[in-house]
Formats: sequence, structure tokens, C-alpha cells
Amino acid sequence: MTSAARLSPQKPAPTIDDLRVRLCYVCREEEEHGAPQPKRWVHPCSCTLIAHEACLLQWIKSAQESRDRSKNALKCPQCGARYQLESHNPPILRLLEALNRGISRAGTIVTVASLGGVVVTCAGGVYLLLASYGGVALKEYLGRRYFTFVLTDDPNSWSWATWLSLPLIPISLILSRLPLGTPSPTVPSTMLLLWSAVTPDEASSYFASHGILRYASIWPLTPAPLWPPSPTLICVCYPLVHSLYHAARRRLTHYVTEGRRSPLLLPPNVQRFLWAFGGDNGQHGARIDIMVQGDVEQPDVQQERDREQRLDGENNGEAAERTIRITGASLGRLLGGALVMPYIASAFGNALLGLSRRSHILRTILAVKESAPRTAYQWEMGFTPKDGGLVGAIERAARREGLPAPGIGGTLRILLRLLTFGHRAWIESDPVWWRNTLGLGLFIVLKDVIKVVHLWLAKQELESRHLKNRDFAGIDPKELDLVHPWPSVGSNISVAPRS
Amino acid sequence: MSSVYMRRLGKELMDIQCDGLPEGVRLLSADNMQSWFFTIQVLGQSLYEGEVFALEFRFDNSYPFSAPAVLFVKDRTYAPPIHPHVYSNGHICASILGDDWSPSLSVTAVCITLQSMLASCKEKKLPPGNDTYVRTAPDNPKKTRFVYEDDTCDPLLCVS
Repeated sequence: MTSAARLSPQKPAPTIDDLRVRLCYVCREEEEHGAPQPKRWVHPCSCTLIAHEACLLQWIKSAQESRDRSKNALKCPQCGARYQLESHNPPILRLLEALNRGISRAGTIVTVASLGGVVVTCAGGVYLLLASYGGVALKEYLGRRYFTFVLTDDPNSWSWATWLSLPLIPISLILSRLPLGTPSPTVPSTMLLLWSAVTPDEASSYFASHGILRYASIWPLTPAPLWPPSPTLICVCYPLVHSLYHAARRRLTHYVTEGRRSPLLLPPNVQRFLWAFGGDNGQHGARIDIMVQGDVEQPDVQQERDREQRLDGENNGEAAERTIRITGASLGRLLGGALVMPYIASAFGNALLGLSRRSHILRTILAVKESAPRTAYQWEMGFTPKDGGLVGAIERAARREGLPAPGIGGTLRILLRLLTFGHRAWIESDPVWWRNTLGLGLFIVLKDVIKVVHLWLAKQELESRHLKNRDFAGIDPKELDLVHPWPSVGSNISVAPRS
Repeated sequence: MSSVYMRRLGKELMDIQCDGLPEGVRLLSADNMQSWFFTIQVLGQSLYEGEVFALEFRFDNSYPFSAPAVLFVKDRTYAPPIHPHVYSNGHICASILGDDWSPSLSVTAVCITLQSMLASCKEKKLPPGNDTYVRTAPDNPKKTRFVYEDDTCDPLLCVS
């Protein structure tokens, strides 16, 4: 109980409903007492400022977007009283936000660590790092057995082509995570899956070509393995699947955050990057996402956004979605997320394999080959081709096998098949790569589901926000423009703001 | 919400036309809802006695949820005041135009604050690092992140 309330027991302090004219301090609109369709008004502080609740909530939201301004978000600009914000904030949302913050923090650590690593190691170190990462990632993705067959565990026997392509794996993985507007994950998937056809080691290129020949001579007699789909088919279909999935995800996200369907044709995917290492505003990941997708604009990107708005009409939310803020944490999340992908794929692939022991259907889908094919490994290892390249190798292998030389047309046909289906060792091996690919897809879907749920919960929280209303205790009713006259409580009352 | 922005600016313009502006401030032009121009001079005794400056307010549809971009005009007729918080390109380092902005402030309130900022000036000098800032400054002063301290200004150019 405040002193003001105690001194005037006959009538409580006037409230916002007793004002004759209400003036919103945010939008400056006035509303007469008894307006036909009154908006929700609040008086959340200890002075005379009042506002539409919607306006004030929007201000709080926009102020909370920036770390420097957020200190003023819940403070009355006139009397400095703190607004009391009430909202439905379920434990699961708090958990998700905490998780998100944790990941961001981990992202910051990854950024700091990798920056330190880059500074400390020289270019050669970076190169070695990339190459060994590429090797390890490849081993994870293709399976140890196949990796050992193609590359061997001894880096000394790797050819220059291997040394050239391995470092490109992490680079392409990272590039694929940058939303550059193209379905760029095609690049790493191609890089990983081309190993089905290309065996850059000189030693294994011999075996491969040897394999090709057997394969080519056997091929017309044996039916093509329709399942799992060939890597080339996947690389070709990937952009389509990718863009369909993304379109679906964007529409779902739009539906969840905006509560209505998005137009079928979304504006082209233009990306801009804002480098903001100094100020990391990611206090509430998902909430900020919703905020930028909503009406409130971020001041930093305002000008560009305006230009863009003029270009594509409305839908500033979409434009905001396409502006990427690069902060220390987000960079770390990006790098860490990219590099951990092969491991996630392998973990999920293994999980799928485990599950497939119980499900026959899953086993068929994964095309698990429990028993390792002998043929793939029984090629006479130990030969090294002297010269002649792939064509020469094919011809020499043909001679050795006692088969007619395939000629140029035949060689081309063999090469084409090689590129389309992979070589025999690939086809006959247990398709670890396939279940890893499916596993990665599963992971991406799971991750996106969690993201959408997070967005949805955060949106529910935003929508359930209310500001606690207070009466005008402590303010002389004479200062207020009231509908009905109010007994004056005298001037000896000290202002006692309620807590 | 652009509708809030239009309604609120319309209201402010109406108030200016009905109730007038504080002494020393005059409306030069408010032809559209993107930029308004005012002239401003310091009344009474001050270092800027007799000088007239022009202020430009740039609004976008985040107004009043974020501050308008306010700068002193620099052209043939007007020059920015020499003041430790005003860069020679007209950019102003004032916390109410950045982190301390609140929708309870208005165009008139900003004018009054800037007037008193000029009036209380003790020494006509440019902010430290003026040349460097002016060389690299973005067109829109809101893209500069200023660090607000009592006496000095420190622009952090982090967003471009």
C-alpha cells in the first residue's frame, strides 16, 4: 500500500480509464473517453505518460534488438520507472533460448580459437590443416573401408591430385554454408561423391581402371543397380531437392511467424552481410529473427532496406530475413557448423545403420551390404602404371585380361559409365556414403524442425506480452484531464511510486 | 509500421504549424515525409551569437521507434557550427540521436536539445579526430556508432 492510497481511503487513485483524452506518447494519437472502438491503453509507469499497448510493445521490441539501446527498453523515458512486462514464457522456450545462447557462446569460442589458429600457423600449416581435415572428413563420409581402399591410410602414397582436392573439401563445406543465393552445397556433395568415379592416387587409378574394364565387360549382362541412386544422379538432383526443401521451409517459417501464407513467389535471394564483430546483438536468437521479420526495422540496414522495398514493393520482413549479420558468434557457428557436417552425417548414418538392424524396410532403403565384396578388394594390388594415363591403363589392363582393346569409342563409353555409376569397387562396397547422406538430410530436417518450433514458441511469447497497468497514485488528480471530477488528495502527499 | 510513422509525422507537423516552434527555431521546409529542414540559432549570450545554422531531419519508416537522422546542413548558405560534438560534415554526436532515443522525444524536442547543446558550449573547436571521421564517414550519420562521453566523441565506424 502506498501512502497516497492510505490517505484517500474514500476513493482509489484514478486509472487510465478515467482520463478524458488519452494521448499515446509513441504514435501521438489521441482518443476521447468513450471512443467507439477503443484500443488497449496502458499506463505502465509512475508519471503521466500513457501509450497504446501495441505501440509500447513495438518500441520495447525494437529497442531490445540492439544491445546498446536495450537498457532503455523497459524504462519510462520521463520518470524512469521500470515497465513490468508479463508474458507467457514456457520453460521449453527458456531452455531453447539458453541453448541458443550457449551455442552462440560456443560459436564465439570457435571464432576466437580459429582466428588464433590462423594467426599462429603459417600458410603451410593452414594448408595441412585443411588437407588433413579433408581426409578425415572424407573418411567419415565414405566409410573407413572404402577410404582405405581408394586412398590408403598412408599420406605418402597420395598423389598431387589428392593433395589438391582434399583442402578444397573444408573450403567448399564452408562456402556451402554461406547463403550466396545458389544451392551451393552441390559443390561439397560433388566433391565428396566424385570419389565414386575418380581415384586420384596413381596406384589406385590403376586398380580403378582395371576395375572399370571388368565392370565394363560385365556391365551389359548385369542389371544396373537402381538403389542406392548413383552419386552422379544425386549431384544432378541435389539442386532441385535443395531448392524445393528451402522453398518449403521458408514458406513454413513464414506461416509460423506471420500467421499467414506467403506469396508463392518470394523475392530473389539477395544477401548482404553486415560485419558487426564489435556488437553482437544475438541476445535472443529466435526473437530477433521474428522481430526483423516483423514490422520493426533495424536502423542499421534501414537505407538499403528502403531501396529494396521500393524495388520489390512490400514485404520488408523478407528483406530483413535476407540480411545477415555477421558477428563473432555467428561466424563461429558458421565455421563450426560447416566443418562438423561430415561427422554429423557419419553419426546419423551410424544411427540409421543401428536402426536398420530392426527394420527390414530401412535396411532396404539404406542398401546395407553387410558382407564386404571380395572382388573389389581382390584386385592385384602392387602394380603401378608406368605411363599412358587412364586410356593407356585401360588398354594395358585389357591386354593383360586377354580382352579386345576397347578402342576410343569403348573407352569413352567406359568413362561415361564410370562417371554415371561409379566404378565397380564403389558399386560393390557397402554404401556408407548413402546412409551418411540420408543421415545428414535427417539431421537437417530435425534441426529445421527444432528451429521452427523455437520460432513459434518465441512468437507466442511475443504475442502474449502485456504491460502491467498502474493507477495514477501519487499524481494530483488536478493535473489529469479526468472525465469525472476527483477528490483532491491534497498536496502533502509525497510521490511514492509503486514497485 | 509505416502507418505509425506517417500518422505520427503528420501529427508533429500539425503541432508545429498550430503551436509553433520554440524561439530561435524556424521551419525551412517540410514538403515530404522523408526530410525536413529547420534553421536554428542560439538565443541570448553564447559563442554562436548571430550565427544561423540549418538542420536536416531524415525520417524513415522506423520512426518513432528509432531516432531520425539529424545533421547540420553544409552548403553554400549554411555551415555546421564549430562545436566539440559536431563534425565538420554536419554529423552530430548526441546520445539522444542514438542509444538514448525514445519515442517520447520529437522533432521539436531534438531542436531544443541541440539548441541547448550549442548554448552551453565553452570553446569553439572541432571534435577530436574530425578529419579522419569526415574522410571515412558514411552519408547517413545513423550508420556511425558513436561512443557518448561527457566531453569527447568517439565514432566507431562499424557498419557500412
